[in-house]
Amino acid sequence: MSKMPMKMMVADCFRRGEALNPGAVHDLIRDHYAGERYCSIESVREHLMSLKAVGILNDESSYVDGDGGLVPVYRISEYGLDRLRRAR
Amino acid sequence: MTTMTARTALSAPDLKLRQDLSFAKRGLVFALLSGITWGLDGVILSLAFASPLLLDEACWLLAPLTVGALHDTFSALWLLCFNGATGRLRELGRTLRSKAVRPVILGALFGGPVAMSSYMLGIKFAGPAYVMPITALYPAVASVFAAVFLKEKVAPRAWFGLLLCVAGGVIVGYTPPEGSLGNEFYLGIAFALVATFGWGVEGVLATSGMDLLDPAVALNVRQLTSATVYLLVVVPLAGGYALFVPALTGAIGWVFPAAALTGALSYLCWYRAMNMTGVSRAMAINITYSLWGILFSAVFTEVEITTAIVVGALVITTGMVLVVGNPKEMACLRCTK
Repeated sequence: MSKMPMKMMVADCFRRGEALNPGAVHDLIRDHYAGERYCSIESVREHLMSLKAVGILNDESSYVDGDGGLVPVYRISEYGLDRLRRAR
Repeated sequence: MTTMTARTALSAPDLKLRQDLSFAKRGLVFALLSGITWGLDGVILSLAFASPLLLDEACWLLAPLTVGALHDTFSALWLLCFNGATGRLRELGRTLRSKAVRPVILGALFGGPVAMSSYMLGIKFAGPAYVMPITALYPAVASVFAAVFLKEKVAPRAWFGLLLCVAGGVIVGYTPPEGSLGNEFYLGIAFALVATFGWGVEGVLATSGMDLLDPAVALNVRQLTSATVYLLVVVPLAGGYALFVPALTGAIGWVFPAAALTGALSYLCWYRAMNMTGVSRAMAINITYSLWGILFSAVFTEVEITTAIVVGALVITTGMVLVVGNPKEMACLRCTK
């Protein structure tokens, strides 16, 4: 099966309108890119911040986990859905 | 211990704001690095242009296009090494097969062979005194396109800063006109406008593609596209491959991989910056390359620092401060609601 570029796949995880955090997105995509060093939680975080900066994703909420680390939660925007539709 | 206490004391919204600001500021640092390394790239390439092989008047078009072809080909190879080392080679394959890559390829054609060939033809027909100030306008062209097509938000202060950066670039790069205007003058101006449009539109097309693509991979596609078109179309049309072997095997042979490495680093920073801080900010800061180029030339060669260069530097610096402004404005780059 032809796979889409990972950043696009990260955005595509939000297509059904769910709010997701980086860990949840990584869980959804990692089987598609099995064995690839590039498919790391750090790459997913970086792609999510980039997708948010250009308006494809919006901030939904954020919380601090048990280790004191930030866990941002994102949801796709109307613009993001439109961009995904046009790119598929 | 103190760090941990301070970290946990911050609320989630505070930490999120800090994360967003850190992302935007990293983008600004990438933009500045792209300008510095592009300035260095130009200084290294000038060593090639000073060689007798490329100074031959009969090769006025072929020589710069051969340099452009070698630069982008080596740059594409360096980027393949980078993407291989960082585990992105399979992503490159997936990206080349995706629809999202089309604007990146189109941008590569505009910004690579089309703009560079037009620039050289413009210099030939109209002279650098007119062509360099015109082509220095490319960040302004890109910003207008970014505002229209990408809905990028640019504050009035940042627009003013951008204009100052462009004006500074013109002051630094200005050379007095020589002789009278020939019949081909307006053709040269038209080529200069095509080059300005090409470089301006490349940033917008590439940024549009990078919405859904990794910047390092998108850049590799850009350089592979540019190198392919140079090698298969532009160079044959300009006269053939006669300069390739003597250029690569002569005393200046080392210049091409070295300049391409600096160029690849510069483009990598530039593409990441456009993706992280927006086209207009990244372009405005990138244009400082004219300043860095002269500083590097003053250090490594015998270029004299003139009053115009100092004035241009002050104008560019003031413009950059205005463009950067308040990084909080960069948390969301576009009006997409």
